[in-house]
Amino acid sequence: MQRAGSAPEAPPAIGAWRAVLHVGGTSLRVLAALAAVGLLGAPIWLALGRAERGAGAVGALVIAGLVLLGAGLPVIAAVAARSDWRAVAWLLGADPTDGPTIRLTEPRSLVRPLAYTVVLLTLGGAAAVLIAVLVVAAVVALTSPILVAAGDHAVIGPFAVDTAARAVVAVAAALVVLAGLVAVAPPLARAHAAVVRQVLTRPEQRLRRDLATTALSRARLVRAFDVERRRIERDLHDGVQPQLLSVSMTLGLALAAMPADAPGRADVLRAQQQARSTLDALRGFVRNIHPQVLIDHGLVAAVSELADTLPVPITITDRLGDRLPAEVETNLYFCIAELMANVAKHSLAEHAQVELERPAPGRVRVTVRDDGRGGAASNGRVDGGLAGIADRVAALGGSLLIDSPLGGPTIAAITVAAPGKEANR
Amino acid sequence: MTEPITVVIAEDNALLREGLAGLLDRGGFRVLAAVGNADELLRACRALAPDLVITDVRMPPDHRAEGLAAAVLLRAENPDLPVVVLSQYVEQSYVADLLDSSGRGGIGYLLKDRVSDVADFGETLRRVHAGGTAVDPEVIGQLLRRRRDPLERLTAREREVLAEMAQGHSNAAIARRLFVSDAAVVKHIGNIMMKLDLPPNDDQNRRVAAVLAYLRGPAG
Repeated sequence: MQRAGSAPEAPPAIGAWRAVLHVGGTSLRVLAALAAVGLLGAPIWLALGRAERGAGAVGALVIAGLVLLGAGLPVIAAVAARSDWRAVAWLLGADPTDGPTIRLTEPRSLVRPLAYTVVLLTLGGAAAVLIAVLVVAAVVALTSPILVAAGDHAVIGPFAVDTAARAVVAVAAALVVLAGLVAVAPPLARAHAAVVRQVLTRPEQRLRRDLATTALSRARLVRAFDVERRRIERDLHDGVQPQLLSVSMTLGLALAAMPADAPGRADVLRAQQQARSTLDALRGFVRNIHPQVLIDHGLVAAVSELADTLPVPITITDRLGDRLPAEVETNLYFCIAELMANVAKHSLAEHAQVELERPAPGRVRVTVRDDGRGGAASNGRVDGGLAGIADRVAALGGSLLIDSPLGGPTIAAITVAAPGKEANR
Repeated sequence: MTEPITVVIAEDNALLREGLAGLLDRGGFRVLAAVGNADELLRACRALAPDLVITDVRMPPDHRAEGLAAAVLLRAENPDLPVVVLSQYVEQSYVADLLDSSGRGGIGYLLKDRVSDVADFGETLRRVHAGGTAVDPEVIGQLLRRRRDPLERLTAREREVLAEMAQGHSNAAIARRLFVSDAAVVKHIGNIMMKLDLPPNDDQNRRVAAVLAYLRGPAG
């Protein structure tokens, strides 16, 4: 996957000489394939040419020919499909390894190569023979002046070249023909590439490619969402919170300057308390939107701080020991936050555990356990929490397992790929 | 009339910077400089040698914990310098950074919201200036929740005393705030230290540090 667009891939520009080489190579392969088919079918041509031999012999020869063709065609098809796929990859500068899997033992994998071979031997065969004839004729025409000079003459199809004037005309015609071949090579090569890709790509391969694209766009969405969250957090932190605090400060100064029995003092005091409780609420919002501590102190610190605010006692066990890449930390944080919130809201658990560890180099596993009533992910909740987790885990190319039998305990495990040590960012 | 305490303020939000400066002026402090980023804070402190530094955690250019880092650096240069950090976060990791900074001068970590309670704020600043520790009750409350299990052993009254102690109040102040006798406070503190396996200690700062270190410890 070199591009993440879902639009059909625009044909990349193909160099004329690359196209000439491709067309030449393909023509030679087609001629070879035709020759192979001709050899395999030899008994049949023999039989057809010698009808007077008697029905038994003809029948035997035809049967032998058909058996040979039946056994040989799949092999030819497999070879042709593989080599043409590679040739087209070279032509387009694409990855040659994502070709079709063809196994002679797997008839299904042979259907498309056989269909392709039919097209190749007929249309391709016609084109290859025509090209070969033109090239041979042009070569002969180009050498004709030498032959004429030596007192000999050249024969090109119906034309005989035996005078200097004719030789000049022949050379000019040859040059025109060769130039024409070079000119039609790129469109021809492109057409061949299109046929190869179209016919040989199996639907599940297209599906795989689409899935990869989908995963990428999912990751992009999650990332955009997080960038947006940070922006909102900063706007609140740098704008709304200080302004409200300034109001509260001014009220505080007013209160400090007011005598204890001043009229309206109670109202000012109430206003200040309201400003303060709004600030408290705002602090909670801001933390939920994007905790600064995650950036400054990392995943474990942020998860611990969050656990402090929840009513259920939660034990955090950290076996990571180092910071993870920012994107991994952010995604895991919000996954853990969601899981911990679920424990607090739904599980009726007495206690929960969060474990962070590296089960293998380059991987990170987060396990959230609680001793609650279980039934997570099956109690018909539609808050989208688990879907959000799934999105984030997918964005990290990880896996999510939730084991929550009715009656508990619930275990949720998230495993993601995460490169090793990362210094302070 | 003693000399007013001299202060350098670092706060990137102009509105709050002005408000804070005005509030300190009225509260009997002398503001030597009010700056908007960590570099200016370092420069101002080295040039003006204030009695007390008040700084925001998050400042330009990249809005990470530059203010806190600058405070820790200043204390490394001058261990006697009292520092108060104002923050919009309850997160105790920031407190940990501050407490882990070496130094003998007082330390304060307060939520910015406290500023609006003018009298209380001034008192807290004076306490830190005198070498005390002041950690925001919100943070203490969270830490107390974190260490729920061993704290079960404490009585409700002892827990109140612990919270007061963690905020850096002296025995006398705790007695006054909880309306009990000094002797009762001493007895409570002795019991708390014993139940939590902390070494008995009369030095105000070391005592607070011990309590906070205990509260910060791994939960469970």
